[in-house]
Amino acid sequence: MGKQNKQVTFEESLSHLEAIVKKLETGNLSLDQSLEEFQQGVKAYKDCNDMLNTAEGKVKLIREENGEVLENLDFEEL
Amino acid sequence: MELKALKVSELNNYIKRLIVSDPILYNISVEGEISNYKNHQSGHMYFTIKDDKSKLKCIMFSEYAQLLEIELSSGDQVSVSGYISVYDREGTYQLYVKKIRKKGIGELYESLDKLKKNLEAEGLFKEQLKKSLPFLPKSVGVVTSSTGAAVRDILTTIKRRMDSTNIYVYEVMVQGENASDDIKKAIEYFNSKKNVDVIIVGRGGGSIEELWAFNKEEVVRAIHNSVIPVVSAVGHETDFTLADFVSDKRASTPSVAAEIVVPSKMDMKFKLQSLYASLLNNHKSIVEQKTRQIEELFRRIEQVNPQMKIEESRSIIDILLEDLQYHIDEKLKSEKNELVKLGDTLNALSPLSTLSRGYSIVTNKDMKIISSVNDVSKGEQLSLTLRDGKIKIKVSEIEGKVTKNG
Repeated sequence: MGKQNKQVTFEESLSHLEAIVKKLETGNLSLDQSLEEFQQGVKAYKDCNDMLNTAEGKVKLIREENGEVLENLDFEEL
Repeated sequence: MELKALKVSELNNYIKRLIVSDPILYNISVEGEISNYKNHQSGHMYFTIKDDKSKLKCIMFSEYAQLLEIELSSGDQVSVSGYISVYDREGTYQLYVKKIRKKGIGELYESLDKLKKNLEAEGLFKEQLKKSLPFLPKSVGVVTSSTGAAVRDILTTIKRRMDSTNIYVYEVMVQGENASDDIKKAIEYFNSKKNVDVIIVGRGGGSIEELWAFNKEEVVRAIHNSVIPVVSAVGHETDFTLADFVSDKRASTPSVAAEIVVPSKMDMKFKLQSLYASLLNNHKSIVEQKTRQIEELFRRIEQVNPQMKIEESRSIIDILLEDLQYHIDEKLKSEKNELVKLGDTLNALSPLSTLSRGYSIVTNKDMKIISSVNDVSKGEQLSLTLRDGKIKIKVSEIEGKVTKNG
C-alpha cells in the first residue's frame, strides 16, 4: 500500500493527446518544444492503445447465501 | 325509578344524531375486502366490506357511483371513504361511501408520490449531486437478477463494445419482499470493496408492482450514498422509478445502460488513430516550417557571404589582366613598328642598296666574297650578285696577281 503511484486513466491520456495535437496545431512552439510535445503525444497515444488492448476482462458472479457473501463465482450465463 | 319507554324510531333517531355529529365518523376511510356486491338498477351500489373478523354494510349513491372509474367485484381489496350514518328503517348503521380506491395501485402511487416529494425536498435528486461517469471503466458492477434478459443484455453489450472490461454481477432479487434489501446490500458491497468504477442497477421492465423495489427508500438512499457512480436501468422507456431520479445517470433499458457505461473500442481506436495522424501531420508541418525559416535565413546570409566579395575581386582582377594584356600587345605592336623603321634605315645602309647603285658583289662557289684578285684563279667559276639577280662568270684573265715564289 506504500507507493500508490496514481495511474493515469485512459481519459486523461486521451485528453492529454488531444491537447498536444491542438498545441502543435495552433501554438507557436520552438522546434525543441515541438519535439518534446510530439514525443509526449506519441507516448500518450501508446498508453491509450495499450489500455484498449488489454486482455479480455473477466465476468464474475457474487451471491449472498445465508448471510454470507460468495465472491468470484463463475458466471455461466454467457 | 322506572325510565320512560321510547319509541323505536325515537331511539334510532337519537343514535343517528349521535353518530352523525361525531367528527371521526363523519369523515372516515376504511379498508377491507368487498363482498355481496350489488349494482342496483337505480344506480346505487350496495356491498359489504369485511376483514377476517368483522363486516360493515356500505351504500354508494348513484351520484358518487357514476363518478367511479374502476370496476368493482366481490373479493377486491379496497379502501372506501365516506361517513357513517344510521338507516332508521332497519335500525342498522352503514357507511355512506363517497370514494372507493382499489388497494394497491392507487395507494402505491400515492405513497410513491409522497416519498418522492420528501426525498426531493431533502435534496437527493439534485442535479449537482450527480457524479460524472468514468470514461473507460476497468470494472463494472452489475446489480440485477442473474437470470433473465437484463443481465444478458448488459453482459453482451459491454463485451461487444469493450471486451477488456471486468464485470462483477451481484445477484439480487429484483422483485418481492427482499428485493430492496438485496439491492441495497449489493450497492453497499461494491462501495466497501471498491472493486468497480461504476455500478449498473436495474432490471427489465414490468408493472409498477414488479418495479416496486426500485422505489423503496432504502434503495434510493443506498444509491444516493454510493461513492461509486450509479447508472439506473429499470424497465423500459416509460417506466420511471425513484432509483432513476437519484442515480447519476438514467438509462431507459439495461442495454442502454451498458452503452452509457463503456465506450466502443472501435470508436476509441478510430479516434486514437485520427489523433495520431494529426499529431504526425502537425509535427511534420512544424518541422517543415522551421526548415523553410532556415532556408530563408540561409538565403539572407548568402547575400552577405565573403565568397561574393572574393568573386567580385576575382572579376576585377580578370578585367585588370585583360587590360594588361592589351597594353602589352599594344606595346609590342609599337615596338615592331619601330623595328621596321630601323630596318628601313638599316636597309638604306646595307650593301644591297649599294648594289642598286650599280655595284655588284663577286662570290666564289663557296659563297665567299672575293675582294682580291689573289683569291681567284684562271678558269674559276664566280658569281656576280647584282641589284636584281646573279650572273655566273668564268675568269678568263687575272691582272695584278701576285705570283707566289715557286
